[in-house]
Amino acid sequence: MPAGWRYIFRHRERVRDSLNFINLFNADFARNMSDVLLKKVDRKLYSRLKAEAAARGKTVGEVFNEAVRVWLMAQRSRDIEKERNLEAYLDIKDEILEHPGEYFVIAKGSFLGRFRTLHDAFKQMRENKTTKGFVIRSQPSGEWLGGSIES
Amino acid sequence: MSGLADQLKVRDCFEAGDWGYVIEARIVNPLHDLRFPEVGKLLLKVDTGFSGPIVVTGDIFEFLRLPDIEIPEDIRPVYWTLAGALTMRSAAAILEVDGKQLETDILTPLQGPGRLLIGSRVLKEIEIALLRKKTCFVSSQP
Repeated sequence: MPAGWRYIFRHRERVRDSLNFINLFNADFARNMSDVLLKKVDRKLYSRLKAEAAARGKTVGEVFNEAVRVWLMAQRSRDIEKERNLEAYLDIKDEILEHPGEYFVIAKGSFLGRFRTLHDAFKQMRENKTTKGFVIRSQPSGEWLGGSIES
Repeated sequence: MSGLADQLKVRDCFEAGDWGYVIEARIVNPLHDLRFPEVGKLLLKVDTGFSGPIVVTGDIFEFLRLPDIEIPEDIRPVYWTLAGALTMRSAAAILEVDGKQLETDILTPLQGPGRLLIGSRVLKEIEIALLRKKTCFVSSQP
């Protein structure tokens, strides 16, 4: 009997446990993978994805999973920033109501200042290298008369 | 056109048949360097019954990336109509109209389709005259 087989025979209990573990792992792996049919995928984007995957020696599925993970992380960090902006806004809400003609800029979780013109407010955002946040100028509610809606 | 219209120095006029009184304008989001429309002008219905600034459809609001800078939910303006209250999403932007750039608020309904119209808050800042079926930009200086 070759040495390898002799080892397996002698330690068959341990080998059986190891094989069971591998099988369990494979079953778990298969459970977490899905074959998904995606509709309306941009043909050019898909071609680029396929080319990039091939260049990196990966499958399209693997690269797709990576891309989705990155996108989800970006969404989460955006939500966190939005929450922080909201907290900053609540801190200065009274001040906004006291200065109805001015623009208040809140971005990156901080109050960046109040400005007389929209041009200055946007300039401040650009200087802070951001294009997302609150640009707030207090405005009144009003009325919308029926006749003009109907036409 | 004659008389008062001559004194007012009528410039560009717009006519939209059954759609009522309209003017041409363009909406700009300088932060993202986006404008709508990219080419030509947008026809906005002149709505003197609407006390707000500008209303656009949801897709234009999205196209201009105005959701990125829109005001918080709790201070969204509400407009009272005969059918009830209409809550609006709002973001600041620039309206290019009659060779001017006006800082204004762009609104779109929180629910339901939007319309393309210009309300009295912006109409106060431009000089227009309704002449028969036309809307004209005018100069009131002699």
